[in-house]
Amino acid sequence: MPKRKLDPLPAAAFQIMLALADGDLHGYAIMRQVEEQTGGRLRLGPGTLYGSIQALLEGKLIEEIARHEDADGRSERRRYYRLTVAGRKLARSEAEMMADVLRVARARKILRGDYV
Amino acid sequence: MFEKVYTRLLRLYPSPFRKQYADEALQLLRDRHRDETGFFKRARLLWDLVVDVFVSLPQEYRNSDAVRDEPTLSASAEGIPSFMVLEKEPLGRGAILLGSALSVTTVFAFGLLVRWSMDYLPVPGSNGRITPIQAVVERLNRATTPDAGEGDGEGASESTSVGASEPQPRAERAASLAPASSSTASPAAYLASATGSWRGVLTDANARPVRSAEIHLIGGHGELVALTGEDGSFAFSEVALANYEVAVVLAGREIAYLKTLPVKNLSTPSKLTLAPGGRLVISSPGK
Repeated sequence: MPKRKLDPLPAAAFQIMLALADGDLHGYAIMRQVEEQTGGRLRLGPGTLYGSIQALLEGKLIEEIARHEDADGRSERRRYYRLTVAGRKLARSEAEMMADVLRVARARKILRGDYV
Repeated sequence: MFEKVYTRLLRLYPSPFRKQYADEALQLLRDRHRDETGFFKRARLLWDLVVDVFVSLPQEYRNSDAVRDEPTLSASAEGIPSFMVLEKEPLGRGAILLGSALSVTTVFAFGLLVRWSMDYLPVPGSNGRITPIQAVVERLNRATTPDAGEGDGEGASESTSVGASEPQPRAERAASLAPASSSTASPAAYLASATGSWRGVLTDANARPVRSAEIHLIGGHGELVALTGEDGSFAFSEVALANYEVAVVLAGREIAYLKTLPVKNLSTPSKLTLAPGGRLVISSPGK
């Protein structure tokens, strides 16, 4: 049975994994985090966001966790998501692959020095 | 407003996705709507939603198809062709009503279009509105009216018109024109008057009858075939009066009569001769 394709990892899914690297987030917070980490270039719409989340859940790269208690002790009616060990590993290998590409691009003087 | 629009847009998504994430997606929209105020940001929100639907909708259907666990209808139908059903849930009453209304409207519109096109097709010679059947009969009639001038000045032993020795009877001509001027003529009676017969004998260059040869009459309405008998004779009955090409197939070899042959009623048989050089010569007795 064919599964959802995460190979190659879509940009939206990778950004979601990066957003979850710092901690558990709900959908809207993931969207804001992705927007922030991409400098406003990527604003995930609900369909793309939850479609990617569904694919990542099926790939066991993220997991849904029990409802989160916020600072006031009030239970929020939101689902939170957490990066799994497998997800972190995949995100790291993807980032390393990109770092390799970046290194080559810099060596070929395609990129200027202001890119880290 | 945004929420209402997006609730409707969400209905386009596959039902498993809707069940799982519709509330979350609406919550996300509410959050953005709360945080993004001002004309520019609201316009950007609307743009994002529209783009998102266009991008994610096909993806969701592709994915929901990929992760489908149970066999689809087409797989379970054991070789019987059937539609792939994207939606797993049974159709709602509204969808059935809408589908029925659309189907009836489409059929009705198609019927009107056909009726309109048949009514207003220009029919030269008709002096008023005629029924579609009469229009078809009219066109058949025009197609089968022989061209009297065709074939004149051909070889002496060769006649392109089988009925050239007989002038077309005045009564027949009158009958053929009747439906054009009168919309009360019976189509069946008219069709009967628009057919004729053609018979003849096929011989070789030495005037010996050729048997078991196929005579093909190829016209705009199709192709008729007759087989020659022991004496080389063949006959076509109930042939629409039209121009035909004639071909003789003998032992797998085709000899075509290159000129057009108008078929009319004939009492005397035509003579077909397989001339040397693979030519077919058709002549009428008395010519």
